[in-house]
Amino acid sequence: MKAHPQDYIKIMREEIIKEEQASFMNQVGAVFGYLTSASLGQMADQALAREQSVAIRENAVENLPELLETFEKNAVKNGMEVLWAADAEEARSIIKDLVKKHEAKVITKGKSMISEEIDLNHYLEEELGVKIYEGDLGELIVQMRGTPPFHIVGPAINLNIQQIAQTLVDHIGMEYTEDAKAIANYVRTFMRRQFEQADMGITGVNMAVASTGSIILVENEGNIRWSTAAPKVHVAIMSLEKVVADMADAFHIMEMLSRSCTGQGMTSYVSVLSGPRAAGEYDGAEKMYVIILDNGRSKIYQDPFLRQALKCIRCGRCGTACPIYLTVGAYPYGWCYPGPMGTVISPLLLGLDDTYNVYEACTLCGGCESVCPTGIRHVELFHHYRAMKVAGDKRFKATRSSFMERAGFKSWAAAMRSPALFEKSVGLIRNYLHVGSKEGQVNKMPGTLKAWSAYRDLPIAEKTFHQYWAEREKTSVSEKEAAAGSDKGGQDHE
Amino acid sequence: MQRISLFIPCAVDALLGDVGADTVRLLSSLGFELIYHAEQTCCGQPAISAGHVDLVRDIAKRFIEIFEDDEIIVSPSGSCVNTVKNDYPRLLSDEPEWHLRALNLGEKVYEISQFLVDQAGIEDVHASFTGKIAYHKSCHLLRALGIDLQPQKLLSHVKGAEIVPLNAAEQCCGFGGQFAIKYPQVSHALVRQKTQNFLQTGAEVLIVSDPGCLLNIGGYLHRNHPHLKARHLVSFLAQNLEGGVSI
Amino acid sequence: MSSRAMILEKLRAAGSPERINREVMPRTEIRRGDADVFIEKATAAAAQVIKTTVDNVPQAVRDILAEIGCRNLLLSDEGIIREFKIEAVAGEMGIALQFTGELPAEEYRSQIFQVEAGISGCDFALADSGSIVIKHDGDKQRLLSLAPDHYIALVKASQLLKDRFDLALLLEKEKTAAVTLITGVSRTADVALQVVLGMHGPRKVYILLIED
Repeated sequence: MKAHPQDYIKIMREEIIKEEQASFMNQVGAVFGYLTSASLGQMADQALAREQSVAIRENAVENLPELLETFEKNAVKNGMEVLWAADAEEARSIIKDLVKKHEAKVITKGKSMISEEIDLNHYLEEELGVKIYEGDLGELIVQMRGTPPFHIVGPAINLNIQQIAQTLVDHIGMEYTEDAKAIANYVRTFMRRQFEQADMGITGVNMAVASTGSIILVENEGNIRWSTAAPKVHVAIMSLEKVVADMADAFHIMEMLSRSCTGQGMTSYVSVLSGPRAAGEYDGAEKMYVIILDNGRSKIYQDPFLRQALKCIRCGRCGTACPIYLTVGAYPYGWCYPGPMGTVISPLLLGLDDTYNVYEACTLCGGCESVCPTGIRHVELFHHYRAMKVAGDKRFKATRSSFMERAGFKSWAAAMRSPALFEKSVGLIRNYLHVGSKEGQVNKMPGTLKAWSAYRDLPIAEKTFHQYWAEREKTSVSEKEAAAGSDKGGQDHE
Repeated sequence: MQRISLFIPCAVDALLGDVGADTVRLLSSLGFELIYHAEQTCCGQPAISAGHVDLVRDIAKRFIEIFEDDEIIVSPSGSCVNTVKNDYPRLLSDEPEWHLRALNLGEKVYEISQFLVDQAGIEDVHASFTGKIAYHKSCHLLRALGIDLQPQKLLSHVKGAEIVPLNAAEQCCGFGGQFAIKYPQVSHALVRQKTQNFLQTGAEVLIVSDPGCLLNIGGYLHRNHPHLKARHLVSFLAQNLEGGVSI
Repeated sequence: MSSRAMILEKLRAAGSPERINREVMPRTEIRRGDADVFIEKATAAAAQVIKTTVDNVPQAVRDILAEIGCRNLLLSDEGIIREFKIEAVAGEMGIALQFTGELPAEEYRSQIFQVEAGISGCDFALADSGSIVIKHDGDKQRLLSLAPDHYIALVKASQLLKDRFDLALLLEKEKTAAVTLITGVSRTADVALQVVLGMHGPRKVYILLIED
C-alpha cells in the first residue's frame, strides 16, 4: 500500500469518534494481554526465554552481513534462487519478471507485511493483470475492501460480522449469513478453487535460517502451506533483518513469536522449507525464489543505536499493549505497520517529517517496551526520533524544528536556569490561569491550552510550594522565637 | 534521623502546591527532618520529551550542583525521578565528569513510596480511611523505575481502606505532558477509558503517584464526575493521618 | 554494482560485528517425549488423539474410518502404512483407496482435491507442543495432510521427542526440502474474533498414538 502517514491527524479525527471501536479494541488489548502472559508464563523459565530471544536478535543484527551471506550460500546449495532487491521498485520489478517468466495467471498469497510495504498486489494486478488472492481470511477481507490491515495478526479485527459478511457478498457472491462457521466455510471453498489453479505462491518469511539455508513460515489457517505446496513456483520475500544463525535460534524466536502474538505455544502449521520439491514429490514448488529486500534498512544499519529497530520479529504484541493504538486504531499510522511497531520502523523508512505525528502522538508510557520479546527500547528510540527531528537530521529526512518552537523552548530553559525568572513565570502562569478558575479548578484554559479545557478542568492549588514553604519557615521561626520568649518572661504576646 | 532534601517537581510547585505540602506533612509526621533548596526549578523533562535535549544539559548540571551534596533526595513524582536517575547520565554521557556526578546523584534520588518502603523500612504511616480506594499505576513509576509494590504496601496499611482492583491499572491515563495539548482528542479518549475502569470499581478515590496523572485524571473527574476524586498518594496518606493534620 | 554487492557492502561498512555469544540456546542430547504430555497438548489444540497398542491398530483405524464415514481416501507410501496393512483395513470397509505413490502426478492432483481423507505416518512428534512432524521426502506428500477434510496421522510413541529444540538438532544435520509441523487443527479468528476450526486445512485431525 502507498504510505501516507502525513494524514495522521485527519484520519485520527475520523477514527477517534468511533467510541465503540475504541472500547472494543481496549477489550481486545486486555484479552491479548491475558492470553499472551498466560502463554509466556507456561514456559519453564520465562525470564531466561526473554533473555535468549533478546540475545538471538542482537546477535542476528550485529552479524547481519555474515549471516545473510551464509544463508544465501546454503539456500543456493539447496536449490533455491536468492535475489537481492535494493528497494521496493526493484523488488516489484524482480517479481514482475518472475511472474512473466513463469506465465503465472493466478497467484495465491501468504500474509506478508513486506508485500504490503512494497505495494506488490496493486502493482502486479495493474501491470500484468494477474489475479492475486490473499489466502488469509482477514487479509482477503481487507484486500476486497481496499483498506490497510488493522492489526498484523488480525487484519480485519475492527470489522463486525455484518461488515465481513457484506464484503463477501459484494465481492465473491456469498449468500449473506452472520454465522461465522458458514462464512469461514464459504471462504474455504472459494480459496480451494484458487489454490488449485494457482501458478505461483507468494509469501513472506518469518525466519531465515543461515546455517541450513532454510526459511520458516508460521500460520494458523493453512493458506501458506497451500501457497507453497500447490503452485509450481514459490516466491518468498524477506526483509534483510529476518535471518537468524541456526535452527535452534529460529525455533526459539518462533516460540516467542507465537506466545507473544496470539498466546499460542505453537501455531497450527509451521513450514520449514529448504529448497524446491524433492524427488518423488508431487507437491511443492519446482522453482523456489527468495528475495532479500533492503528498502532503507541498510541505512538504518549504519547507526549502531538505531539498528535495534531491526530486531523486531513482527509479533505485534506492542500494539495490543499500546493505549494510543487501541484507541485510534491502525489507519492513522498510514501504512502497513500500525501501532508501536510502526512508530519504530516508519520514521526510519519513510522519514521523520512525514511520520511526525506517528512518533509525537505517544505518551512514552513504555507499555510496548515492557512486552517486546526482542528488547527494543522504544521509549529511548522515540525520544531519539524527537531529538533528531528538532535537530533536523538529514539522514532521515527531518526538517529542523521551527524557529518559534526552538525560541519557545529556549526561553523556557532560561526560566529553568534562573530561580527568580522561574518564580516570576510561575506567578504569571497562575494569574493567566486563574482567569478561568473556580473552586481550585481551572475550567477554561486560555490560548493554546484551550485544548485541555475542552475535556477537563485543571486542578490549581491556592499556593505554590515555594509560597507554602516560605510561610512554613516563617511560622516555625516565629514559633521558635515565641517559645524562646515565653521561657524568659512568661508574658503573653498577641 | 537523616535529613531529606525535597525535590519538588515544577508542576507540583506551580499547580499542586498542596501535594508538596502533603509531602512535607507526611515526612514530618514520620520524624524526618526536611531541607528544601528553594533555588530548584525543574528537572527538564518537558524538553527531553520534546526532543530539545541540548537545552537540558545546563539544566541537568544545575540540578546536579544543587542536590549532589545532599544525603537523600525524595520526590513525589516517578517521572521526574526517572529523568534524574536515567536520563541525566545518558544526556551527559559525553562528559565523563558530569556523567559520573549524574550517576552518583541518581543513587540518592528516590520517589517517595520507594524511599519509605525500601530505604526507611516504613509501610505503615499510621493513617486511616473508611471507604473504597483504587490504585492507578503511573507509567514512569511502574516501567521506568520498576516501582509497583511499594505504593500498594503503603496503602494496604491504611486502616479501614478497602483497595478495590482496577482493570487495566497499568494502562496510561493519557497525560503524556505536551501530548495532552497536542493530541487532545486522543488524550481525552485515554482518560475517559481510565475513568470508565475506575467507575467500575465503585471506589470514591483513585490514588495516583504522578503529578501529571493527578492533573489529568483529577481535572477530568472534577469536570465529569465531581463526586469522585483523584488523590496523590502522599496527599491521601497525609490527609488521613491518625494524629490529625499538622502544619 | 549489483544490489547484492551494494547491500552487503553497506552492511559491512557499518561497523565491526562483535562476536557476541554466538550460541544462545543450550545444546542438549536428543530427549524423548512423554506420551501423556503429547496427548494433553494435541487434544488442547483440537486434534483427536487415540492411544492404542500395536495389536489394536487395525481396529483403531477401523473405528476412526467408521466415525468419518468416508468413501474414499489416499494413503502415503511409507513403512508404517504397510506395516499395519492400513490399505487392507480400509479396503475391507469398502473404502476406495490409493497409495499416492501409485498415482501419476496429474491423477494425484485430481484425487487430492476430491478424497475425503488422507492417512500418513509421521517422522517425529513433539510432546511439549502436541505437534506431529512430517518430512516430505517423496513418500509423504504435502497436500495429503492439508487438502482432504479428514486427516489421520499414525505416530509411534518411540517417535516422540520432548520439544522443538530436539527437532532443531535433528534438522540442523539433515535436510529435507520441506518439513511441516502440524499442531491440532487449522483455525481462524478473523471472523469477528470467533474461532472457527478447520479453516484451509482438514476439518478433523485424528492422531493414532501407537504404544511401541
